[in-house]
Amino acid sequence: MSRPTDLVQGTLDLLVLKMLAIEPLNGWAISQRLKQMSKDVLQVSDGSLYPALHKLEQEGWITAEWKASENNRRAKFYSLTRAGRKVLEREIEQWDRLSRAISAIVKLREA
Amino acid sequence: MSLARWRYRIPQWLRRVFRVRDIERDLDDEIRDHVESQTAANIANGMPPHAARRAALVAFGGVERVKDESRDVRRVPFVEGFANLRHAARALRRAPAYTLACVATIALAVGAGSTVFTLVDTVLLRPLPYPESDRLVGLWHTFPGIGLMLVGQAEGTYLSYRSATQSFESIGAYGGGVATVEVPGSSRSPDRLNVSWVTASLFQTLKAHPIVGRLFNDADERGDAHLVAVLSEPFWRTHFNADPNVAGHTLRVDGINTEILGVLPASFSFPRSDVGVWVTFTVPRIPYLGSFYFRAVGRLRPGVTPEAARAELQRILMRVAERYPEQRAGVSTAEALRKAHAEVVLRRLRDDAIGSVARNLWLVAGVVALLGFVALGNIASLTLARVEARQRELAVRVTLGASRMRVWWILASESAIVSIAGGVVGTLLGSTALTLLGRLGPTSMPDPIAGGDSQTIIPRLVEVHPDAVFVATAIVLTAAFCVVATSIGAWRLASADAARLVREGGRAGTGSRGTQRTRSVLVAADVALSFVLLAGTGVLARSLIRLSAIRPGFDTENVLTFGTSAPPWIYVSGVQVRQFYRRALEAAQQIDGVESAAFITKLPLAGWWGALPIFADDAALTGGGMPPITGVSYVGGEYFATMRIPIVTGRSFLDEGFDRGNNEAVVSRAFSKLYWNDPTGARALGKRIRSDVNGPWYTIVGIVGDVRDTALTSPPPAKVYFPGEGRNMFFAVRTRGAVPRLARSLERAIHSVDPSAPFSDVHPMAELVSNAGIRLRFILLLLGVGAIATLTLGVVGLYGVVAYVVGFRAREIGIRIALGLQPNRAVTMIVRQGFVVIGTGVVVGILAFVGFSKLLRAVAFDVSVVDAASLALAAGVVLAISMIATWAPARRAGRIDPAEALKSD
Repeated sequence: MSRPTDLVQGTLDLLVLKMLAIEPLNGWAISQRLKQMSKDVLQVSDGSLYPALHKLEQEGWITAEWKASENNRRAKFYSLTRAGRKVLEREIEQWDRLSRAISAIVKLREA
Repeated sequence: MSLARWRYRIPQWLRRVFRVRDIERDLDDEIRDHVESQTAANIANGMPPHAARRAALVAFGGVERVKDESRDVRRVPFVEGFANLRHAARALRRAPAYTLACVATIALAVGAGSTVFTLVDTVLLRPLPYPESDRLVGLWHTFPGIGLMLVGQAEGTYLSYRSATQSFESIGAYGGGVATVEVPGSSRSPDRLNVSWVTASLFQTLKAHPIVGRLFNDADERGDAHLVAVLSEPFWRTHFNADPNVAGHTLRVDGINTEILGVLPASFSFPRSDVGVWVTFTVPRIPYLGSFYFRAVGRLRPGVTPEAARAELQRILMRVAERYPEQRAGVSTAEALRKAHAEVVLRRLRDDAIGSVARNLWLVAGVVALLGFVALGNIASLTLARVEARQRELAVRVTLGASRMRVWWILASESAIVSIAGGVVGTLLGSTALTLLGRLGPTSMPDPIAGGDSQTIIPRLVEVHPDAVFVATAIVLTAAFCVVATSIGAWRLASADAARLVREGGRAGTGSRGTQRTRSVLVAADVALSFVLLAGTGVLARSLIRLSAIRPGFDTENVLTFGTSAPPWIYVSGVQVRQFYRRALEAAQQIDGVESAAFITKLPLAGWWGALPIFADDAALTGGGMPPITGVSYVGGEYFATMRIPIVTGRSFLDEGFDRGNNEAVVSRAFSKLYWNDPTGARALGKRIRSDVNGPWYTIVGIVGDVRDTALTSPPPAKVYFPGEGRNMFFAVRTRGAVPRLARSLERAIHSVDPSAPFSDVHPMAELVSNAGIRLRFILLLLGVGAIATLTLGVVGLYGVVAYVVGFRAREIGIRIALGLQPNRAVTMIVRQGFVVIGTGVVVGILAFVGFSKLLRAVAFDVSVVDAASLALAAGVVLAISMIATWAPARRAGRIDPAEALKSD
């Protein structure tokens, strides 16, 4: 199945939010960066990004705006909302805590 | 969910609902932007243009799937359903049989369910239409010592209770009858209508308020000035054109000028719904206890229980003898009360008003509940069959990327459409039924003394109309059907594995073992419930046959009855009244085709029950106490010949009862048995009786056959006939064969004696007898309709299920036939499988019926409820019909062409 698993889905949300925190992007640009950033981790079709984006939009974490793209086509640009920023902060904090805990455990074994 | 999220979510939902097209276009645009950007990037990386585009599309994945997932994300709960309704409506149009069966089933169940619930709610559950009606109680007495189970009030008891009670806020007395009412100066002829006489305190007790003028006050009740009356709203409308200044006008009630004080609202009804005029009732202050001829109702003080109030009235009753030492000349009140074992009885007014109808209505409610279950089962099995039939379509949808959610929405939308359509039709049916029921006629407070209310179909029927409760019930029932249909579909969907659906598609045959079992259970339940209702109808039908086989003790054929009254402003003295009736009788007898005619104070099975204590010239019964109270009628003319009541011993009255010098009496066989234990009447003949210890003795000259006087279902009471007449009498006229326009001729005959005499209540005697069983007939009608409807639903369900089974198994059966199975064997196989299910249903039905029989026993008359022969008959009918419903579609199995069946995939 092409549907990302739950773990990956959660990670996907986090990555998208993080990218949009830097600058507003359209779907294609997001997919390009995702590929560059994590070519081996996220083996998903390009299309499966869109339902994820629309879900984030539905949640009110990102908002969209129609603008002319680089090659002058009608393109939908997503940006982070205030609610989205809070979610991102919380997610990052959680991620940090989790990864610290995991690396602590990993180090414990090595010692 | 935080508030902030709603700030985004709600506008998006609104957009989703109202701007579907925009969203779809945006989605298309966004995907196109992506694909074109990727194509451009691929070209920039050196790919040829069309390979670049294809690579972009491949990398994107299934466009339609992405769109669908995206739509799922945006799905708005509930509201989203609207988008699917159009699709569902189209799908239903392609399946008219399914749609029609569902809508009809739901309409029937919603209509019947909401109608009967409203009926039960209005009649049984809702408080009476008087303020704080839970504090209203009827005041009665019981005298078991002299065989009187329930009597009302006498002057002495009423006045004592009223003056001494601490438990009651107020007590009012009432009674009723028929009176001639005339509006002076109006062109209308005088009307005979129901009049109730009430004390001023009665309206206070019921907290009634007039819409025009005022009600009675204590001065009116004392009757110091002239007589006063209050009108009912319908009477005010028909006779005074709803004149707001009607107060002060004059009315003639039985010839007496009466001043109109006010008008009561249409919602006020007491003690009958068709009372036209209320007049004041002055309870006379007499020096003895008096006779128990009127009724009273009291309002308890807040917090006082009926038990406490009863105890208080009982104490007052025991002291009544001090106030009234003598009950008529020579009879001590204390002794009479002691011998009678007199006790006060308080009954909640609501219980009196409802009477015995509760058990009938609960029976009907039970029937409708069964009908509802059959309907639910039907909807479940029809929907199940439909989902199975569409397995392939649904499988294709899922394969093409439709989410399970989306498929569920389609099924839910279909359920919603059929449920709402059925609900609307059912509501229309139900409101029509309720409106008709409300018009089924005036209702009186069931008369507990006459021992029966079987002549009224259902009390409080005038209060019944389609109201908020009705609409709410209809909505709840409709929703229940919608939920059942949807969840059956959802359950089937959840249990179906998409991969298996794709693999097997329409080839799945009969579906999973689970759904097949579910279907069998549903069919068996349908059969069982149909059986219960059919058997119940059988019991009531047998009851009705027994009821119509009862011989009332007289011959109803060719007897017409009517009522009249000697106008009191013309016929003042008793002699004058007698003259009026003698002339009226002669005029009636002279009509061509009339064989004989007679008049009587109370016709059998109609009117108020008049009774008196009868003293006999026989030491055994006359002591210091009260003798049994016996039904007494005054008659004139050839009453026994006209009614064909047989004369057992002796003879009828001399000179048609107009010769009053000899003080003759005729008694019934039951009276002779009660007093002298002699049903032959030989010992009674020549004995002397009287109703008043100071009055003259009457000699028994004849003993006649017993007559069912109060109710068809009650045993004939002891009865005494005296020659005589009152102001109001009923005539019975026997003709030789049918006489055309007899009523018209009789009216002319009465008017030839006196043009101002009323002519009313014209009924064939047979009608009075059939009215006596009207309740049972009505219940039977409802039950019969219910049973037929249930059986029809059951048959529809059964037919549908078998047809689907045959359809699904066409391939399997085709293979078997190809392998050598005889086609008729295929039919037998299907029918045999059906038979197992149906047989189980009948067995369960028999068990259920035995459980249900307790409810039935309450309404069944003189028949055993659980009766082998009728159970067998019902089982036979259900089996036969079910087998036809199985066999008809099963025949198709025999006609399956193996080549076709194998090819069709």
